[in-house]
Amino acid sequence: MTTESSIHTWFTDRLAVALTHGLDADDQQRFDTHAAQCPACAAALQDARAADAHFRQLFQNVHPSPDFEDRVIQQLRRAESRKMIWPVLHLHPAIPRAAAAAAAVILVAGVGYVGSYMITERQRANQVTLGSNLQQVGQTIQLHRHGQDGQNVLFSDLNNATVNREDAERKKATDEAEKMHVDYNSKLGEYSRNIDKERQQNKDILIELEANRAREDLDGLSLDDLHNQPAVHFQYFKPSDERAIASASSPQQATAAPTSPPSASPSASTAPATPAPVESDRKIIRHGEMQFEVDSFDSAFLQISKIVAEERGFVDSTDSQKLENGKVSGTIVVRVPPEHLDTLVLKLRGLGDLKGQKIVADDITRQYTDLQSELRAAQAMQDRLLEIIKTGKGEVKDLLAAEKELGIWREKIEKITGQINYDNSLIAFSTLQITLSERDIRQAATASETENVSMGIETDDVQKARDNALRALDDAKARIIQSDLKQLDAGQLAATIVAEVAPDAAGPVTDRLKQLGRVARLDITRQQTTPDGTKAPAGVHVQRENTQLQISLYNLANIAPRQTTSVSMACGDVEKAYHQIIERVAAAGGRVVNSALNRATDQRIDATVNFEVPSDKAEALLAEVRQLGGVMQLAVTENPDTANVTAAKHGFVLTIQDLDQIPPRQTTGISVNCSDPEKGMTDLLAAALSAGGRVIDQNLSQGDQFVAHLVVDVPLKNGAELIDRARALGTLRNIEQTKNPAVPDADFVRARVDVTLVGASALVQQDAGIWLSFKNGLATSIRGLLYSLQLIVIGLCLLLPWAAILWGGWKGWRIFRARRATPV
Amino acid sequence: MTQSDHELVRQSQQGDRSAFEELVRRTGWAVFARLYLETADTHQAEDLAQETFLSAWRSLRSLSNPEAFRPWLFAIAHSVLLDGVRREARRKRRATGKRSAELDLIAADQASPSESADLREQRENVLAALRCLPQDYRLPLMMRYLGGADYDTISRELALTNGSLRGLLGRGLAMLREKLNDKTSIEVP
Repeated sequence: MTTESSIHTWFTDRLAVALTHGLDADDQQRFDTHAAQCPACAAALQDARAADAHFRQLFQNVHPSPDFEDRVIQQLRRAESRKMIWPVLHLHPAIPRAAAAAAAVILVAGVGYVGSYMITERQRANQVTLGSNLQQVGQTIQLHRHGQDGQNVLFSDLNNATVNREDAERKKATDEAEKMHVDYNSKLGEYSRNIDKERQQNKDILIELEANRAREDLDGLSLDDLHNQPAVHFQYFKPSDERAIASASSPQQATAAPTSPPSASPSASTAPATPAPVESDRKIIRHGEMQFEVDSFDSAFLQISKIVAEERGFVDSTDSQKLENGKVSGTIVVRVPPEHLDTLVLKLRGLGDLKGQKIVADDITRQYTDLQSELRAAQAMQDRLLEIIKTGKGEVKDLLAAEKELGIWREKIEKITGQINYDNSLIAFSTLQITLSERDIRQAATASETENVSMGIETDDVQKARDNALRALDDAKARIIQSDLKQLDAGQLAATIVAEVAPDAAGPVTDRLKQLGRVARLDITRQQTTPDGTKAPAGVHVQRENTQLQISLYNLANIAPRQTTSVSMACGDVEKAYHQIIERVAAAGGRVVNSALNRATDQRIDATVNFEVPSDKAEALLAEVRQLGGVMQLAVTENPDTANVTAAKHGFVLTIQDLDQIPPRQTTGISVNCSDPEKGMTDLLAAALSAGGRVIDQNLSQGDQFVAHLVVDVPLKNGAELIDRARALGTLRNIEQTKNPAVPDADFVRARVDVTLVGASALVQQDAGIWLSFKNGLATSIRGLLYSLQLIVIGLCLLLPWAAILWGGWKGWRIFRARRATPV
Repeated sequence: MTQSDHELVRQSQQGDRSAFEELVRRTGWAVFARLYLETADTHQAEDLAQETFLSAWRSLRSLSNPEAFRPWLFAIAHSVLLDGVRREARRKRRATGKRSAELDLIAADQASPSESADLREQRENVLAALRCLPQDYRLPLMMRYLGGADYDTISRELALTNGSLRGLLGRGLAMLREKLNDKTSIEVP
C-alpha cells in the first residue's frame, strides 16, 4: 500500500517533468511502465498532457523573433560604442522641452542682438557714405559755381537725395553738371563775343550819328537835312524800339549779363540763339571804384597811366594831397572802353594791397530811349515851326511868336542832344575811380615826452624840509599843483608836494631837493607819447613837456625798518633775559615796539620782545643777545624797498623760550631683542638718570611677547652712550635716528632715546584658538559653497542651453537618419 | 555551458562584454517571457527586453551579489516595464485623435489574421491566471508555454536544481489549471 501510494505520488510529482521531457531514461521507463499499469495515473497523464498541449497551442505563436538574442547583443555593442561618446540620458520630457524653450529664447535673443547690431552698423555706414556724398556734391557745386544750370541740377538732386542714394546717380548728376558747365562756358564765350561785336556796331553807328549831327550843325536850317535827320534816327532807332519792347520782359537779365557774366541767369545763357538784335541796343554804363594801399603814390600813378594806356583808355583826372606825416593819398579817375574794364581791373590788382573794389553796371536803356523819343518830338516841332516861318504866312506877330517858340524848342533839342552825347560818352568809356593811399598813412607825425620824478626823503624835521623844498621850487619857477602837511599819530609828520617844472629846470631842482634829507626813494620815468597812443616812430620830432615832481617828506618814526631780524632763543631764566634785553635796547637808543612775558605755568614761561635800534648799533646788540642764551633760530627778513621803509633803523623780533620747552635735537628709536626686558629697562633707566636725563615714558606690556618700552631725554652729549648701552642688552632688531633741523646743535639741547626691549615670543598666538579655527573653517566652507553656487548658476544659464541645443540637434539628426534608413 | 552564471556575471562586471552576451543568451527567453506575460505583445516585450539588457549592462557594477543576477535582472525588467507603460500612456495622451486612429489601423493590419478573437480571449485568460501565480511558480510555466522551452532549457535559464524545478512545474501547472477552472468555464479537452 505504501509502495503503491508512493509510486502514485512519485508519478504525480513527475507528471509535469515528463510533459516537459525532463526525465532521465530510467525515470522515463519507470514512468511509462506505471502509466501503462495504472489507469488512474494514465488518465491523469492524459489530462495533464491535454492541458499542456492546449496551453502550448495557445501560445504557439508567442515567441521572440529568432534573432532576438542577436539583436539584443548587437544593440549592446552599439550602445557600448555610443557610450564612449555620449551617455544616453533618460530625462523627464519636460526637461528637454524647457531646455529647448530656453535655447530658443537665447537663440532668438542672440539673433535679435546680431540683427540689431548689423542694422546699426549698416546705418552708420550709410551715414558716413551720405556724408561723403554730400561732401562730394558740395565740392562739385564749388567746382561749378559759375554754372547755374549745373547748380540747379545739383541742388534739386540734393533735395531729392535720399538716404539710400546710389553712387551711380551721384556720378550721373556730377557728369550732367560738368557737361552743362562746359556747355554754359562755350555759350558764355559765344555770347560775350556777340556783345563785343554789338558794342563795336553801336560805336560805329554812334560815330555815324555824330557825323550826321555835325553835318546838321553845318547845314544850319537846311530843311532837307531836318527832314532827313529824324529819318536817320528812325532808320537806326526804330528797330531798337521794337526790340526794347520785345526784350522789356527780361530787362534785368539783359542788364546783368554783360556786367557780371559769372552770375548770368540761365535764360541769358540761352539768349545767344538770337543775340545780336536783342542786345545791340542795350545802353549800359559801367563804372567802378577801387581802393589801394601802395608804397608810393607817384610810382603807382605812373603804373596806372601805363596800364590805362595799354587798355586804350586815358587818365581823366587826378587829385592828390600830402598829409602832415609826409604820406600822400589821392584819387585818380581813369576812363577805358567798357570791354577793357575787366582786364584793367585785373591788371591794377598788382598795384598794391587792394582794400576795396566795386564795379557797377547801370542800364540806362529806358532813359536813353525816352531821350531819343523826346528829341524826335522836339525836332518834329522844330520842323513845324520852321515850316511856318518859311512859308511866311500869317501875321508878323504870329511869326515872332513862332520864332520865339522855335528858340525854346532849339534849346530843348540842344539839351537833349547834350544829354545823349553825355550818356554816349559814359557808355563808350567806363569810369574807374582809383583811390590810392600810401602805407602807414595814419602814422603819428609828432610825439611828446614827459618826465615824472617821484622821491621820498627822510628827514628829522619835516616842516623845515618842506619849507626849503617849496623855496627851491619857487626859485626854479615851478608850478606847485598840490602841497600837503599831515601830522599823524605819535607826533609823526608827513608832507607831500606835487609840482610841475620846465624840463630844463627839472635837473637842478631835483638836485636841490636831494639835499633836504636822506633820499630813501627816487623814481624818474620818462615817457614818449603820441596823440593817438601809438608808438612814436624814429626820427619824429619830440616835444618835451613839463616835468612832474612828486615829493614826499617824512620822519623816521612813521616807517618800518628795511631789515628785521627774527631771533628765537632758549634761556634757563626767561624772565631775567627779558628784562636785560629791554634795558640794553634803551641803552642803545632803540625803541621797544611791543613786548610780552607769558607765564603759562611755573615751568612754562616765554617772552616776546619787538624793538628797533639804529642800524649802526644793531650788530652789537645782537652779539649781546646771543650771550643771554642759546639761539635756536635766526632769520633776517628784508622788506621791499617802498616809500614806507627805511634802512636807518633795524628791527628785531625776539622770542625767548624756556630751555625745558625745546624739543629734542635728535630722536633715536631703537628696538632690541633681549632675554630679560625688565632688567634691561631698569639698567637703562638708572644710566639715563645718572647722566642727567628725564623720563618721558616707561611701560611694560605682555602680549604675544614681553615688551618693555622706555623713552628718556638725555643731554645731547650723553645720547650716544645710552644708545650703546641699549644695544649691548641683546640682539638689535631695528634702529632709526631722526634729527630736528629746527633745533641747533647747542650744549643745552637734549637727545631723546626711545628704547623697545622685546622678550622671547609666546608659544601660541594670543588670538589663536579652537573657536577661531572653527570660525575660519566655517568661513572657508561658506566661500567654497558660494563659489560652487556661482559655478552651478553659470552652468545652468550658460552651458545648459547649449547642451540642450546640441542634444536636440543630435536627436533630430538621428531621427532623420533612421527615417532615411527605413525602406518605404 | 562550462562557466556558471555567477562567473559570467563577475567577468561582465569587469567589463567583459562577451561574458555578458553569453548571459543574454542564457536569460533572453526568460526575460522575454516575463515581459510578455505583462504586456501580451511580442514586439513590445522584445523591445522592453532589449531595454532591460541595456540597462542591466550599464548598471551591472552596482550588482553586489552575482548569485542574485536573475532576480536582479527581473527587477530591472519590472522597472523597465513600468517606465514603458508610463511612456506609452504619455504618448497616447499626446497623440491626436486622427493619428491614433491611423496607428490603430496599422496595428490591426499587422495583427495575424489567423488568430481568432476566441483564441486571443483564451490567451488573455491564461495570462491573467499566470499573473496571479506566485513568482516562483509563474516563471517555469511562463517559459514552458510562452517560450516553448523544454525541461533542460527551463532548468538552465532559471538556474534551478532538478528537484525544485520538478516541484515548481508540477505544482504550478496544477495551480494554473485550478485557477482557470475557477475563473472560467474553459473546457479542457
